[in-house]
Amino acid sequence: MNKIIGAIILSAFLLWGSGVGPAPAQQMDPQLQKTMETMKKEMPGVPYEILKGANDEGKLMFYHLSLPAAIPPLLQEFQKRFPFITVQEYFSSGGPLFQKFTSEARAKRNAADIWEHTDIAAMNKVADEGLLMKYKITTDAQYPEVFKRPGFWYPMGYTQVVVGWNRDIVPDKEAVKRLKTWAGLLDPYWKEKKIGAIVIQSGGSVQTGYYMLHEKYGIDFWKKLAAMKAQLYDGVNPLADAVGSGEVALGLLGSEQGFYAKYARGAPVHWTNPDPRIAVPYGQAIAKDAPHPNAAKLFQEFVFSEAGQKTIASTALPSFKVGDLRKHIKEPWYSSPPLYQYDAEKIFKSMRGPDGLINQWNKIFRK
Amino acid sequence: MSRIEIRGLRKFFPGNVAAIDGIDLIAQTGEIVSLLGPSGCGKTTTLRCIAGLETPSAGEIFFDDQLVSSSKYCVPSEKRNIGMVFQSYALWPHKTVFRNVSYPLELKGLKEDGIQKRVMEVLEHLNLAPLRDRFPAQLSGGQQQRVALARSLAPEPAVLLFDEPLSNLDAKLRERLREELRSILKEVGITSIYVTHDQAEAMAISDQIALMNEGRIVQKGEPEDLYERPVNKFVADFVGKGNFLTGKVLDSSGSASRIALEGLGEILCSQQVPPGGNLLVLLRPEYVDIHPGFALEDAKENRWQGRIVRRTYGGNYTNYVVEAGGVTVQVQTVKSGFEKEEQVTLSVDPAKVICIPTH
Amino acid sequence: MSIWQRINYQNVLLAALVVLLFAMVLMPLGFLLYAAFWSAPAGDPEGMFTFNNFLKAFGTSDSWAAILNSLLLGAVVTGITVPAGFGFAWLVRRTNIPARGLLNTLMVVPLFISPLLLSLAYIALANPRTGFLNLMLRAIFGFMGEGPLNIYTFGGIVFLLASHLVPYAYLNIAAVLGTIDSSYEEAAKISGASGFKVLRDVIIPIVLPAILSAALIVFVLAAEQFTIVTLLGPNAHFVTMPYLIYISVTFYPADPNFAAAMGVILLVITGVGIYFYRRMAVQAFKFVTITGKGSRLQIADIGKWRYIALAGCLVYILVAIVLPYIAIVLGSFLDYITHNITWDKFTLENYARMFRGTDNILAIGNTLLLALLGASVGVTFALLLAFIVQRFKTVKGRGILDYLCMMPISIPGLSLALGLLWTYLYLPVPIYGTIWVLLVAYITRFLAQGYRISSSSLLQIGPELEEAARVSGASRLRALANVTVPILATPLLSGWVIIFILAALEVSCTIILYSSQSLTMSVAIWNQMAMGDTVVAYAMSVILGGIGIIVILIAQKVFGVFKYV
Repeated sequence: MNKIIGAIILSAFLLWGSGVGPAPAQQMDPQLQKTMETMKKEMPGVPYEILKGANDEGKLMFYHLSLPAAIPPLLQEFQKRFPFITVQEYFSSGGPLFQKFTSEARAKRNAADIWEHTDIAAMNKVADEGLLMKYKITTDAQYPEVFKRPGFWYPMGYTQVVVGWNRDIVPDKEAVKRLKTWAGLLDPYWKEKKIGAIVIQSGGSVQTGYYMLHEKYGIDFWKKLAAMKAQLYDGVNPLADAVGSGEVALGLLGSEQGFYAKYARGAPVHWTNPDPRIAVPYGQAIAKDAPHPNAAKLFQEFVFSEAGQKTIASTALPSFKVGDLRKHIKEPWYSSPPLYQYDAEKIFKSMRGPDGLINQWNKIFRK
Repeated sequence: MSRIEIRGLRKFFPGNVAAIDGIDLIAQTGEIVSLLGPSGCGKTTTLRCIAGLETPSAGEIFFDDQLVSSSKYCVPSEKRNIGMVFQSYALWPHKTVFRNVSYPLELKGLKEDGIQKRVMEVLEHLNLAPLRDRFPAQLSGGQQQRVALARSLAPEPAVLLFDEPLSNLDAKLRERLREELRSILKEVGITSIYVTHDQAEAMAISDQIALMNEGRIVQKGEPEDLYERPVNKFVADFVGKGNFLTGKVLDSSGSASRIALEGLGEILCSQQVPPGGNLLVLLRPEYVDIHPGFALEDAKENRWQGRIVRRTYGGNYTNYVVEAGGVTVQVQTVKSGFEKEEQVTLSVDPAKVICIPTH
Repeated sequence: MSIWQRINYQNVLLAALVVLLFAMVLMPLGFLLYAAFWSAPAGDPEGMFTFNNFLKAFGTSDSWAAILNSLLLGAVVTGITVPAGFGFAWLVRRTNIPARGLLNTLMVVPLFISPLLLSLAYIALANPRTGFLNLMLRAIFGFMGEGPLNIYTFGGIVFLLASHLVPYAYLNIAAVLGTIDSSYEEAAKISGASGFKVLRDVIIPIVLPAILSAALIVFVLAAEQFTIVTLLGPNAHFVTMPYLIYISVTFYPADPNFAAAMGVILLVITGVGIYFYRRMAVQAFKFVTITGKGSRLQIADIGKWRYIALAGCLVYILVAIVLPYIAIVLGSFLDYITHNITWDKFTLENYARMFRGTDNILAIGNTLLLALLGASVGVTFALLLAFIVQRFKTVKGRGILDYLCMMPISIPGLSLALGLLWTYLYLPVPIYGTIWVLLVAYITRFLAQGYRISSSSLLQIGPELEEAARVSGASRLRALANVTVPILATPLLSGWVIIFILAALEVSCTIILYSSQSLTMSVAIWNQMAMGDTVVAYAMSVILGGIGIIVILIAQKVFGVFKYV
């Protein structure tokens, strides 16, 4: 018996010496103590090492897609809790951001800690190439499989691919009546009103939208849609501008963010989700060779924690974790039907190639 | 061919003094008149007024009693039927010699063969026929000058204007060309106004010279008039070299005047000058004769003794600077034998003494 | 003498400059070519050699259409711009049109209004449904429906490009019109030619090489323009090569290799244009001389046509400067783009947003710094290179140098940007991600401008003045600095101003190479437009435009630059 106890004591001693085992009174920085307490409450399970490491690093480089409604409050909340980390931002639109991040990563000149993107298939490919750091956030389980790559990227929120209209030209009632499903886009009511659409190359969210229409209603739907002679725009913001100014009455398949931004400035823009509702995640990942890995991990943990998600969900993007907390969802012109189930990889593949959907779209819509 | 009459011509430029301040001049038909003078005297401006390139501020210009320029009315250059040779020749670099010369004829509307005939006629007259297809950049200075002349003669203008046309050429060429030019002009019999700052050129080429200074004509007349009978020091000095000595008229009678000359004592002059006044006596260096030693053979008038201070050999003549009676006298002579420091006697023919009143 | 004394340091310096030039121009070009023949972006392990990119470029009807459209656009724009530029140049420089000084200043301004701004403004002014001008015209002439103006057409694109490029033609031609020896014209008048015939038979033939060289530059610039065709092209069903390059780089799925291939094709097209331009430029100065004697220029009296001509010039200025500016300024005070402008809609929010946070202040500072340095270093570098080409007659291969210096102008901005990105990612020079890589990019991009001006100025002056200085004991570089540069101060300054403004407005290279610390105003504007508040972009454009105008005014009033009249 003495031998067994002795062995246990020896093992414990050895284990303790090697660092494994229950965390003894590790020397905690007194300033960080308070922060650690907050973290225990808001981000349970995140170890002290990460906090300490982040504190030592002191910086974070955030490559993002610019959400003027969400990012500033998000960063504010982050800085409130972790004032010793200076956050530097670089933002751009999807394509250039993607180019910059991947080019830098491949050249081993990684400047980014955190990178954002909205195209699922693209992010997976980047992960496969080994450009993302493997880090499983503590809240991993709270996010749907389809909209994450476990250990690599997670959805900090999602945008919806909606239909927007100018409420001065199109009364809400008329719009809502006709847009219960996507088939309502072909309603003859829209014939006299000018409609606007986004070119398919503009991004993953638009492509998902067009794919859905193609899958649900066939190529004829596309042809009929094209026959309505929509005005074409490069991206959601020019489209939203056009809707807001009345240049077009209806704007289809735009990311909700675009319409929301105009709405926030007082433009007469409303929008809704026809059935099915298309959600496109804003994926966020850590770069493999992130210059400040601990700060990056800390940031991820914060963004995907309840506090972080609540901030995002109440300002700009609905959250998979805490739901939609934005004010306008209660408005009568807005609706939230069930989600569209899709396979991002399949959509990605279908777009490319000489017979891909992109080429087909160009042939049909650009004549 | 036209007779040119200029009356009271004035031209002001903004911010300047008057460039021309009252010019009266007549060029008879077929006459070659030079406008001679230093830079800025207004000769080019006068020429450009005659050409219609400038509008007068006051005064009139007539071609054969037809008013062509006044401050209110200015016939455009292209309608004046004139020719002009520019200092830079202004040959159009993108046209051949032939096309340069034919251009004014094309503008007149002549027929193809008429143009051909006339252009070749003029080119041959000026020995330019073999160069007809060359471009100006491929010609020498002298050749360019002749092409410019050919172009101005081709349309048979009433008046020909020249703006320092020879100043870009070297000395020997210049001398040769001005003789050629005069003979061509006289042959064609065209009224010509010729601007230059070179007095030798003006005297060689002109029937009449108008010497200008500060916008006015100081003296006009035949070359000999200006040279032998200048009205003031400026004229005398411009058209030739000279020894200017101050003098006071002692007495004057009939055909001669006796003048007390500074330094040299007395001098006899064949002009009649009102007595008692001061005047300037001009002795042209080539009219001062030089003799060896103190020759007093004739004990005539106008003899002074002096000493050679400088000798400059010039080939066809030699220049001496002689110190006599406290003044220096320049002498130009074919006698090259005198040496520096040599004692000599100077003499002047009274008829060659030029008296210029000083007022 | 020790070897250190033997070395002519000046020659070493100049040789180093040449090496630098090769590196700066050929490396991005090299990467571009490499990418064009590769199947994946640099660094992607799956890449391999392929002709596919070119097959795609020549194989699809879309890209063929793009290639032909680019050529068509170039030709049509040139056909309008050059005669217009000549007309304005002749009117302002050689006739008694009223207010010549003012017109001369104003004619230059449209060049410095960014094409992006112009497009935004005219979308607001002339879109068929709610364009301001259309609303006004419909109200005046009382008809309904859409139009009559529609900026989303081939005509609209041509209109915007021509408006933007007329000053280019104007500057080139006005400079030459003022240096012809006036006696050519006087001789023609004396020979009997009326004013019009003098113009037709003497002035135009002599000025023709300069006109043609202006035409070629305009053609190249029109063919490679991307902002206008990107914004208006899709709706006008008019696709050009720069647009295809742009969407291949920025849209998704990106295909930078295809973009590189298109970039190479565009490079070949513009390269041919530049080749002929160079031949023309040499001709241009054969016939033109500096009137050393200060003879006054012949000013044609166009009588009562003066006022009609003035009206014409004013219409152009209205359309190219005033209207877009009013539109942008107006928009900058609105919350969102709309034609229902009522008093309560006016706000200063956009300007407030601009200055909120340090980002935009940083951007303004960066823009000014880069423009100042870019212009100063750029002009100096270009002058030294032109100096080497013009004055070192014994060095072989100067022609290559000449070609290299002009080459960047034929590389479309986006293509150059890609090449520069890959170059400075892989080069062990630690400038990537800093403001210095932007400086290098700008100098490369605008080298041709500075070089052209330096080169033609040196050509006009001739080496005698420097030779006189050398005989007096000055070294070659010293002679250049003490004698030639002061004489050439005005043209060199004009080159400085042009590069300053172009650098301040530069978008295509910057957008790929900037980092958070090296944000510039032009990129900030583009970002705002692409991702957020268009109206904030308007506000920023107003500020940027204001800087440009101030610079031009100072240049003209204080330094006498662009003062042709």
